Amino acid sequence: MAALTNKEMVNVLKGEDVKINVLVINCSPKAKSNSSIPAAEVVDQLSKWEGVTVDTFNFANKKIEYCRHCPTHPCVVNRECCFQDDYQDFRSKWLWADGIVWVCPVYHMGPPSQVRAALDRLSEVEFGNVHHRQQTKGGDLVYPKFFKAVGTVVHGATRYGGQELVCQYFVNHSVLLDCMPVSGDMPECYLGALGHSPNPEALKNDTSFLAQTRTVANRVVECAKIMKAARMLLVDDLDEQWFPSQEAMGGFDKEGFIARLENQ
Amino acid sequence: MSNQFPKLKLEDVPLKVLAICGSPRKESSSQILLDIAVEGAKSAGNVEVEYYSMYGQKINGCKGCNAYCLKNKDCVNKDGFQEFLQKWLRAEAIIWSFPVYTMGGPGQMHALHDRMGEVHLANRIDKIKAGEAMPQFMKACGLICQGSSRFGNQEIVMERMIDHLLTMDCIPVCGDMPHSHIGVPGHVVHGTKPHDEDGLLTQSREIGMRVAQVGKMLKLGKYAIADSLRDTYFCSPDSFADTKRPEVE
Repeated sequence: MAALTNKEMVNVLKGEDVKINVLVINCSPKAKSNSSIPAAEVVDQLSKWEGVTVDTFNFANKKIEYCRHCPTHPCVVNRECCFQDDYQDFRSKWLWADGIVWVCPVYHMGPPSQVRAALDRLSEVEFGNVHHRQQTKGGDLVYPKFFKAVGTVVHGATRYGGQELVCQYFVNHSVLLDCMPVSGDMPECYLGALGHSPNPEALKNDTSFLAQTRTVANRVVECAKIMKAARMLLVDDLDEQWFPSQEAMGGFDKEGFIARLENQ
Repeated sequence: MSNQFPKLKLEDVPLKVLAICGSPRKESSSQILLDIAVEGAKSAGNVEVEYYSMYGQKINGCKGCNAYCLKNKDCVNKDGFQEFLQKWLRAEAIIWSFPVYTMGGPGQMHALHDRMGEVHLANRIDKIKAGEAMPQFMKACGLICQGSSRFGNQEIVMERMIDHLLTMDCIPVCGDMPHSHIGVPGHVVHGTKPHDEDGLLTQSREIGMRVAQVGKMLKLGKYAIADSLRDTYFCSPDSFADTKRPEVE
């Protein structure tokens, strides 16, 4: 086995040619939310990058049912959740993204329940699709390797008000769904950008927090581009597990990945 | 677009993997699982492995003295830490295997993190003051954590390790779903050897393989778009203080 030399790997792609999609998720169920301030900061920072397409999802005014863990497993039988609501839109956007920035308020030492509901259903439908494939086509239970770069921005009403624990929830969610949790720049940003929001003015004036949210945005872009670049170069070699479908949670679509490259 | 760049094979990407045994015991369960994980990593091809074990090492705790490390860019204590630091810096991917002690990992392991964090900061303090970020190491890291109870805090100890990885700007990698959620947790009863009843050996091998795969992808991706990445993505493998971009002869 001949190992590749640096010459065969270094700068074989241009950073701006590695196109990525980044989704910014505002987790607040309030229409006029404190979260909209750091979320706007993230979107603005993302707009400074070349080759980055940005979309947003906002939990305000959304209807998201809770997961019931239905005993008849409709998500295995139908490869879809039994509820049709705003979850489907959330899932489409999540699947589309190469990088994700979660912007989230602290509720009861955790994220708002709508967010948990969306993620519960996301992973159950993944489970359903993977099991459906095994039941109909045989073989092992093969889960997609998403390796999306996932950054987190959290703010709460008190100085030590659960921000770190909410951030930890998103970190664990990311590892669980075969994604890459990334933070902003050290030495300020340990697990993510964390802020204190007793009122919107305090948040707007917290320049250190807002600067950290921008470093989270940058790191998500850089890491998503690193992983996309690797997938591009290894496209002939990696198996389909590394090319998750953008349509079906738990599905694979290597052809779609190649087609999107060709269309650039 | 796809005919404008080379098509490479994952097995051809060379990778340096560090296998760390967090148990201070000789012939530990952690070491057994680590050896299996290393087999998994090697199966990815072109993998070079180094080992570090807490066994036989003298490792002092961090005293937070700061003055010494800020001035000398090394820790005041000379012990097993210096070897650890050298190997950690050189590694492109890391497998950690460790036991649960009292609701945490062994003290030695946390002492190494404490001291590494401080020495890392000390080496970068001038650059930080000039507005630069700390390095983004992006090493792919996998965790194997076993304890003597079925629910013996394995997940909480792994969670703490994930936090260590994020603060060092590394990437936590789990094994495969549906069994490996945030790493490989295991149950090994005192006085027995790890066994595969719950898939612990299988999962250890698998996480080793995944760490090598993801480590190779992160390395290749980083190299491929090197010119568009900040210097902080290329910390020297020899020193926390220096930048070293990959040399192209």
